[in-house]
Amino acid sequence: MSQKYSEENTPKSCQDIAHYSDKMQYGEASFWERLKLKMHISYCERCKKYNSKNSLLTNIFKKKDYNVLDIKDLEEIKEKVNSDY
Amino acid sequence: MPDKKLSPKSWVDKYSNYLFNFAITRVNDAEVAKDLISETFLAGLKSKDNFKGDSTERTWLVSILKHKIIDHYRKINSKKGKAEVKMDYTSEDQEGDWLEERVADHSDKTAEDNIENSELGLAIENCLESINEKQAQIFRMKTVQDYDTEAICNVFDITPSNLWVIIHRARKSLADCMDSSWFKN
Repeated sequence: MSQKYSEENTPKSCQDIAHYSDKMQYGEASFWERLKLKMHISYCERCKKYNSKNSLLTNIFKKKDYNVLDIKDLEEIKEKVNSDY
Repeated sequence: MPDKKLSPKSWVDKYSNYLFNFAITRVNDAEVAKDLISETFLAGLKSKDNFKGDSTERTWLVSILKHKIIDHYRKINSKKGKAEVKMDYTSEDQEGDWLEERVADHSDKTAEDNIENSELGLAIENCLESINEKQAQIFRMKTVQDYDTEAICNVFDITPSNLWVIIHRARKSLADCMDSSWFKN
């Protein structure tokens, strides 16, 4: 069973680790942040779970099967819809 | 009771990316997909009185988009000189604004769910609906479009720590909401 984690019942240390894990997904975690993350997940099951799911999520986005519109495109669509209606 | 009112003003921000993912896998061309989405919103506005609240706003818009896609293929086929099948038109002068203006919102929930389960883009967009539109947009820009943190912060007038809170919220709701089958390699 997976537990529900809300921000309120997550210890500050785990919130920090989650933040490093997020940054790591975008290649923006520093050496020390990555090290802290590694050490922490060696004994913290909840952060270990979050981190592994986080990486899987990153893999999903690498598949390129998800397309997004740019904000410029959205503006363009808005303009079209507004001017024709 | 579901809300029976449509809110057209929020359509573009709320549903464009969902509709875009739906369209692009079917027409394979981003420009065509964008045009079809604009046409879908316009047709939706014109026929919004037909919406009875039987389905969700999004399901209803998807049903209009489906007609627009069929229409698109019909047009390119007729350009090639093939005979155009017009059996859906009741008379000649209704050309161009045919079925989608009469689309009622028959709820086709299960069919829609199946599509969502098989198409990644739709599954992601479906889960992103649980966070607010601005946050979803920030997440898309950061994750898919690789915008710099700084650039996003400038556009939305937020701090980097705001941005990371939003990214975390989005990733957490995706991790909780996406079907576990997507997480298998």
